[in-house]
Amino acid sequence: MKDTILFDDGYKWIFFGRDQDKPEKIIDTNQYLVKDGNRCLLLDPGGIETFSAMLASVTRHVRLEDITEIFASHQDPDIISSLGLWDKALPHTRLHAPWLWEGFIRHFGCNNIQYVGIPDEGSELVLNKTKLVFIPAHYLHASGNYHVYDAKAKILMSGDVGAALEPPESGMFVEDFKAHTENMTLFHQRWMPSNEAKNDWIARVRKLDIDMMAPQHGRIFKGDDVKRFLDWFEALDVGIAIKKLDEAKAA
Amino acid sequence: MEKYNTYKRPFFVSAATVAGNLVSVMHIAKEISLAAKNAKAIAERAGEKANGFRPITDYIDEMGYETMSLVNAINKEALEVSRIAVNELRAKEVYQKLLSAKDYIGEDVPVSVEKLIQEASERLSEHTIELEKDKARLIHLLEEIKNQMRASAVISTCSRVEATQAEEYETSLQVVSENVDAASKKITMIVNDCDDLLAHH
Repeated sequence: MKDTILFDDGYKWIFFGRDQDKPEKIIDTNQYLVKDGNRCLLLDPGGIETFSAMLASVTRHVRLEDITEIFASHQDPDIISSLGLWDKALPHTRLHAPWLWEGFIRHFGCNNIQYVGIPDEGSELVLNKTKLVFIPAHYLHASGNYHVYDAKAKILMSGDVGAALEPPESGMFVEDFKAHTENMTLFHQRWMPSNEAKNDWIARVRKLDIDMMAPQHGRIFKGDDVKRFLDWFEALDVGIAIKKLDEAKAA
Repeated sequence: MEKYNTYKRPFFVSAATVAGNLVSVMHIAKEISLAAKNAKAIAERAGEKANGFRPITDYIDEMGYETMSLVNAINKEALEVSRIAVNELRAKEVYQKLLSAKDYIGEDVPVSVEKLIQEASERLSEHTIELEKDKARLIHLLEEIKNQMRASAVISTCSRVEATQAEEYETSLQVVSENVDAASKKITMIVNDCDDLLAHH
C-alpha cells in the first residue's frame, strides 16, 4: 500500500491507498490519517480485506497508541467493515460516525471503541492543535453522511463525492480534469440519489476555502480542479436508476 | 490511554507492526550502500594505500543490497503473517458463533449444524497450522538479518584496522567504518524489537 504526505505544517495529512496487493475483486480505497502529535485521526479506515496492509502502513508513521480517533463518513463495508479488527487493535479509540448509523455500524463489532454519534448538523473535533469540522453530506450517498474539512490545511476529505473507479496503479492526483470526468460520471449518476442533496452540499462547500479535495476512491483534486469539479457536479443529473426504470417502462 | 497500555496486543497487530518497523531498516540499509560507494571512491583515490580496504568496500556494498532484499522478503512475510492471523481470528469467531448457535438449539442439534461446526473446527486448525508455519518462517528471516549484522560488525572492525594503513585517507575511511558499524547496530536494535513483539505471543 502506498503512502503520501499531503500536508506537513505542524501536523500532517497522510494518504494511504493504491494497494496493488489487494484481492482483485474488491474496490480500491483511499484512507487518510491526520497526525497531530499523540492525537491522530484515521479517516475511513477501510474494509476487512485491506486491514493488514493498512495497519502495517499506519505503523510506519504513528505509534498505534497515538491513534485516538477514527472517523467513518458512512456505514459502507469499504469504509468501516474493518471496525471489528480495529476494535481489537485500538481499544482506546473513539469512533466518530453518523448518529443515524450507530445501530448498523455496531454490527461490524464495536465492543471496546467508544462510538461518538455525529449529529445531523455536523460537529467539530479538535486534536492537539488541529481543528477538524465534520460537514454534513447527507444522501451523498448515504442517508447519514459527513465529510471532513480542515481550514488550515485547506483540505476537504469528501468521501464518495469526487470518487472515480480506476485501477490501483492509477495516479494520485487529477491531471486532466476533462478526461477524468469519464471515470466519475456513472459513479456519481448512479450512487448519488438526489439532485436536491447534491445542490445543498455544493452550496455549503462553495463557501469553504479548499486547496485539495480528497475522495475515498480515485484521484485527489488540487487547486482549480476543485472548482471545476463543483461546476461539473452541479450540472450533472444524478439518481438515474429510477429514471432509467421509468424509461424502460415507457418503452 | 490506560485501556491501551493494559491490553494484550493481538498477534495480527504485532505482525503488522513488524512490517511497518522494517521500513526504517530499509532506509538504513540504503545508507550502508551509500557508505560503501563513498568508501569505494575514497579507496580509488587512495590507490595502493587502500589496497586492504578496497575488497571490504565490495563486501559492504553487497551486504547493503542483501539486507534490502532480505527486508523486502521479511516485509512481505510479516504482512502475510498478519493477514493469516486475521483469517485465523475470523475462523475462530465463526467457530465460536456456531457453538453458541448449537447452545441456542439445545437438544436435537441437526446433523447439518454439527457438520458445519466440524468443518469450522477443521478450518480453524488449518489456519492455526498455517499461522505457526509462517510465524516460524518470519522469525527465521529476522534471525538471518541478525546474522548478517553480526558479520557486519566483524567487517567494520577489519575495515578500521585496514583504514590505519591508508595514511592521509585514514580519517575518511575510519568515518566509513564507523557509519557501517552504527548502521548495523541500529538495524540489530530494530530487529530485536521486532523479535520482542513476536515473542510476546
